[in-house]
This record gives sequence, structure tokens and C-alpha cells, in this order.
Amino acid sequence: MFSSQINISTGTAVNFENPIQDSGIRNIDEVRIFFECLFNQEDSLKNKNKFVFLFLQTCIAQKKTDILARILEEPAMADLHPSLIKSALIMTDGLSEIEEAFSKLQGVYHEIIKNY
Amino acid sequence: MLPYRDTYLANNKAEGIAVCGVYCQNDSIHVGLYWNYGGEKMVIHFLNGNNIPVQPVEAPDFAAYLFNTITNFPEFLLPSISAFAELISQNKINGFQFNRAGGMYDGGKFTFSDGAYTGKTWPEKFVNCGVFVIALLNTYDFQLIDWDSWPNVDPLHLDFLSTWLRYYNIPVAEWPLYYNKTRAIRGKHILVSPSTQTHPSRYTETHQLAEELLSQLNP
Repeated sequence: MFSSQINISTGTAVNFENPIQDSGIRNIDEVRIFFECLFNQEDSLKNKNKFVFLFLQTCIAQKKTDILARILEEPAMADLHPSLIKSALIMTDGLSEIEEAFSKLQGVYHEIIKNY
Repeated sequence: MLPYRDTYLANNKAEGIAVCGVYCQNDSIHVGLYWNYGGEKMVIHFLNGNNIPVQPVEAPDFAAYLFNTITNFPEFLLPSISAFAELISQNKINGFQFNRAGGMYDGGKFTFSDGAYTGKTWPEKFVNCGVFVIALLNTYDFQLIDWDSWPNVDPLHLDFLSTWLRYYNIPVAEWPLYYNKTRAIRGKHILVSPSTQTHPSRYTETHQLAEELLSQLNP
């Protein structure tokens, strides 16, 4: 299950072994795919949360700590619904390799929910 | 007395989350977590490590369940917890585990730093339906009960723990090793905990409410 590919309800597929080609011009990396799926207006918030759990789980299983750190530190995280940020924090809590990125995102989350 | 399902649903139409539970026998109440979000009204309940169903609250079995709303759970987290619960139920989350000291639950939350739960043998020992609800909510930094105020199991009243120890073939000679590491948390406590005056719920008040509920259910 989900060892090298994620399918979400929109049908978007992420294959970490063979990155998706963007119009044949350049590779799209996992970070871009992650945010494109989350900013997709068609999917429900619940399905987006599922996507966050499964996408990050795949990254963890494949030890893609660089991708995980980039996602957690990406400023666009602050524009997501707080439930999505929380899902990302739950999934990445306790991973020593990305402690710094985790702490930064935790700070972002606490700032957001203060006014929510 | 807490409301049964049909009364509860008739009076609680807004989105939210609640503990629910059904009286079994003696002082035993099986509990789960109910949510109403995004047009879904579902219940997740821990039956055992391999069977954690998410089911529509309209299912016939839930007619006999009592419901107790958790009023102070942050509503903006409902999309996350409903997604997370469903993935757990579908066994799509690899390696979720309880923070435990040895094989015992220590009041923690689900963590993912290794795949310890994948084996589904030791980790679910001493995880019962009530502990599952606590751990699920703790994962969202929401403490239903004040863990530190809870006493360990009383060696004179070990029926429920003995059942688990026997089920997992723990030699009787080793049972005392578990007595001092297991909190006396029961489904009855979890079900009444949203009704306590202080939150997270402290043991003394929670236990009193639980006993009152049982006396109403089993006069």
C-alpha cells in the first residue's frame, strides 16, 4: 500500500520513483504536488486532511526527510486551513531529523489558532 | 441521565464531537467517539487492535448508546480528526503507536516515528476502548481526563484487568508486575468526563458521576 504512489480522491497520482512531468518541460517535485493538491478547491477539507496524512506517511516511509523539511518550512503552509497544519504536525511529530522544521511549523500553527 | 441516540440527535444538529457509550454488564460501558462534520455523522470505537470500525451513527447498534458532547474541543480540527479516524479504521496509517512505558499506556498520543504498531501484538495490550478515545483526543492536544489524578487499578478489583491479562496469556505469576502500571480507567469514566465541572476531568468527580450513571442504568 502507498509504498511509492499516492492516489487521492481527485485522482491525482504521485509517483516518487518517476516524478510527474509538467507539460514535458520540467519535473514537478513532491513539494509542489503537495501544495497543488491542497490548494485545489474541488476536494473536501476532510479529503485534503487524508491526503496530508498519507502523503507525509509515504515521505516518512521512504525517509525523504529533505522533502518533509521543505514542506514544513514552506511559507504557503500558513495559508492552509489549520486542520491541515495540525495533520502535518501529528504526522511528523517525533522525527528527530526534522525537529527544526517541525518547531517552526508548530510556531506558525499556534499563531494561527490564537485568532481562530 | 445522558440522552440515548435518537434523543441526542434530535437535540444536537450542529457540527461537533461527543463521547458515546453503551452499557454492557456490571460496571462495564463500551465507549467510542462520535463526530458530526461535513454532513457525516459517524462513530469510531476500538474493539481490538485489528478491529476499529467507523460506522454511521444511524446503525441499529447505536440506538442503545448514550451520548455526551465534548463542548470545548476545537471545532476547526473536525476535518482532521474525522480523516485520521477513518484512516486508522481502514488500517491505512502504518506504525501508529501509543506512547507507553513498556507495554503500558502512559496517557500519550499516537506517534509515527517508528512502525511499532504494525505488528499489532504488544502495543494494543491494555489499550481498551476508553484508552483509545483518550489517545485519539490527546493526539490533538485535547486532554479529556487529568491523567495524573487517576489512581492505579485496585488489586482487590481486578476483574477487567485480569480478563486482559488472561486473554494475552500473561503468566499469573507476572500479574502483580502490571498492577502498578495500569490506571483504573474505564469506559464509564470516559463517557461521563465531558460532564465534569473541571476540565480535564479529575478522577474523584469523574468516578462519582460514573457511579451515578451506573446506578441509573442498573438500578
